[in-house]
Amino acid sequence: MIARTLLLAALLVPAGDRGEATGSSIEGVWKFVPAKSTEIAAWKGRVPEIVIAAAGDRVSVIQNWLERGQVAYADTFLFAPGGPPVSSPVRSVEWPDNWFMGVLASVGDERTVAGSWQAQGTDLRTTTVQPVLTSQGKTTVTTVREYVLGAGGSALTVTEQRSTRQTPVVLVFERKEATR
Amino acid sequence: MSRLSLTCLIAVLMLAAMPPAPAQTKDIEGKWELVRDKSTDIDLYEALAVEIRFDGPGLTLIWTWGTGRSFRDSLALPLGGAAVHVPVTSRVFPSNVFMGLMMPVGSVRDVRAWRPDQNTVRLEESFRIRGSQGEVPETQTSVFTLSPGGEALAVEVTRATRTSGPPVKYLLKRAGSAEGFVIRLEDNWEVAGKLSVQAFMISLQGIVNKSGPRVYLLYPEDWPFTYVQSVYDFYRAKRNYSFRELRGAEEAIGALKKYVRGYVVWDRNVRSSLTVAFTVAGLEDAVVVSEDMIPLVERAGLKPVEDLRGKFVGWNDTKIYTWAYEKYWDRCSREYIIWLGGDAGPVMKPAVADWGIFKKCFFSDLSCRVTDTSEYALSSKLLAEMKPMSLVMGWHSYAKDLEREFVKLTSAYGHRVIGLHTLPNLSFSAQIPASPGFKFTNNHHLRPGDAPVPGKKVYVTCIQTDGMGLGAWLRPGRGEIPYAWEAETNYTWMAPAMAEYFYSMATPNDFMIGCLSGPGYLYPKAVPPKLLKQLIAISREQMKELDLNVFETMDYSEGATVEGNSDLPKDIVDMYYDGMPEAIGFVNGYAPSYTFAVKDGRPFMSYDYYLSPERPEADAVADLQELARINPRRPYFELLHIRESSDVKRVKGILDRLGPEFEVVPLDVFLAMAGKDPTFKERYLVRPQKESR
Repeated sequence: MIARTLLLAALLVPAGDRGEATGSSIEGVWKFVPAKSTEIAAWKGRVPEIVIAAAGDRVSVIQNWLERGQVAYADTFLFAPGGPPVSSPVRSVEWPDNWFMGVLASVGDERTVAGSWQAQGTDLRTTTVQPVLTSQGKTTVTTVREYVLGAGGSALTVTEQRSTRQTPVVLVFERKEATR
Repeated sequence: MSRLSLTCLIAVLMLAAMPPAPAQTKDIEGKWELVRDKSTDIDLYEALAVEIRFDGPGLTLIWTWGTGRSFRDSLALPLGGAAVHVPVTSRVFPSNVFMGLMMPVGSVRDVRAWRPDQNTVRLEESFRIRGSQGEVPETQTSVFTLSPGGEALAVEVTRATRTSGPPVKYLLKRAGSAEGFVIRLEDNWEVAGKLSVQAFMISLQGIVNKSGPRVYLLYPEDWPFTYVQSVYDFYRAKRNYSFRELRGAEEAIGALKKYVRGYVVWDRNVRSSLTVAFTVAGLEDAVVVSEDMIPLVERAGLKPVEDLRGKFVGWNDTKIYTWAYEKYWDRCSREYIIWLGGDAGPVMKPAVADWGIFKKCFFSDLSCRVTDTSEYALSSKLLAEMKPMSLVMGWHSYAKDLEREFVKLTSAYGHRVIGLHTLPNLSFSAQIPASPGFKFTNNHHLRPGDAPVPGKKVYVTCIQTDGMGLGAWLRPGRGEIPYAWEAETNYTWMAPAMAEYFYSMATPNDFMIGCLSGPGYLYPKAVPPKLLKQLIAISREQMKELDLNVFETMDYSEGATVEGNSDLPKDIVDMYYDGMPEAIGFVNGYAPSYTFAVKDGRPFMSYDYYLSPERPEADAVADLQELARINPRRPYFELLHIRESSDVKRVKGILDRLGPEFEVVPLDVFLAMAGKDPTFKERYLVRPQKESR
């Protein structure tokens, strides 16, 4: 999974790392701000990081889970905004949306991802349909995520609404400075 | 081996491990002394001793009021009620010197005695007493009653002229019994600070307690085992213990040096030298001291038995513990070993060391991480040379490896862990039996034949980590909702009075369960199957004694829930079913796990939720509600594991907000309903099939 993520990251380099203007787009690397976010019940202090990149008609959203600064788990969504849902096989049992609930990703099944720009470059909505295993067996969870760039371009708010959860999960990120 | 013979073997092993019970007659005869905290105040004299002797048909009864300045009243009386005329030779009215009453010297007391049964003596007296207005006649009755276990003597005194106020009652214990010393420890555990004093006290405790339960240490209020003060109060209030406080190292060694044979010096510059010093302390009955404490122990007349100053400079832990192994291992216990890990670096919290000294254990904090090759190899060597099913006491080093790596390795040799490094006062508590006649009775909510029928609801039940000690037992809310607590089943023989402490405090909502995978903490997938069967058999016996019928397993030998798997294969689940036929159900995991089964109405269920102590209540409510939507069938059985740092008040606050579809039920009711209508899917850990050639 990590190798695949790195490959995608190499193919779809965020604009921020290419040294381009970053303030007007959600593209870039985003660092989690826990104080402004829903508590995420992180496993072993894992911290999320989001990498958004666009190339041609495709967008990749990578949610890394960092453990001591290293990527311990990466969840990657790759799709064409406005296009049909993209299916991909589930390869890991980890269901990172909540580590402490008795829910596993259903390995071997397919999950689908679709997305569309609500406002070009600044507001992206994705919908994933994820098969999961619970104590009562297999079911699916549909999650709608909206990635919205904040005023000034330095903050990203991700609002997750799961079909199974009454309240949204709101995660706030700040733009990570380019390291080069 | 047949089940019967195995049971007998276990019983013999358990008995052999128990400390010898103190010789004690159960007769009312003997010398008794006052338990002041549980008696009517005696104004001037403060203390009271009573001696009772029977000589054929006669009774000798001696009251001694006070200690230094005292008043003695000796009576020789026939039993059966015949009056004896006793001349009054002293004006002292000893029970109430501060009242203006006096006995008229030269008058006569008429005293009669009876022994209505073996455990009771009754005394009736008629005499005259003089107040400021002159003499009046007085009658007094004293009834002496032996407690059911023979440990205590209750004396109730009634006088004709005292008709108001609380009754006059004295509680006496056998002279010389239940007496100890208490030492308060400072909250400073820095290697460069006052750790040396705390280590000295702990070593002194372990050495002195070899000759009986004499020293109890009071740890700081925020000690991980929250019960230290409460158990101390329990020993005094319920077990009639009296303690003399020793203040500081000088006073402690002065009072207790007769039990100590020498001292061992550790090197403040090499932290591990203290760990080695504890090994020496147990074998040589030598207190551990840092260099600056040498004058203190020399003044007490002690001589050095080992000096580790400068010896280990520049050595790594493998080399240090190998040196200790070569010099001391042959004399160390093969049934108990101490991993003095936990807090690392500049701090050490070695509370369990008293037990290690008491049991002559080898101490180390070696890594159990495979990649720490040299320490791992030495860890393995030590564990391999222990008897199977030994007890590994203490904890892994937070600086070296993970809990799961430690327990996986100990399990591989069939050993069982009892944590933590901060476990206090075990050398004392191990020697206090449960009260005579005390029966461990769990708070079952099902009567024989009960078969609760689940409705179309979400049933929630809670289990608390480390119920006995680390948990929220003494924190707010206990008793307000049904709650299950992990019980340390080894306390049946290791610290029976501690088990009594918990059981006697339990409310009807507090339900104990056995844990953790065996008689002690182990990972069943890592244990050799032959030993696992024997370990389950021991757990079964301990559960019977503690009146437990639910057992909990946990296995992180293949990693934790998220990045590994904590599930069990069917063959291991079946071993628990077969080995614990009385169990009404089993629970599995720590964080959520995914093994589910049911057999003959007895479910084996994994946790569906782990309540992190950091999780805000509103988010936890949403989590539990979401699980109920993801699991749509009703009844849905939602099993919660609560980390010890969440108290019951907080948990109740979360559960109260779940809504009308949810119902919080006791664990045994939960399991009975889940066994009847198992809406969960059977699931085991499936091993990949090996390819055939």
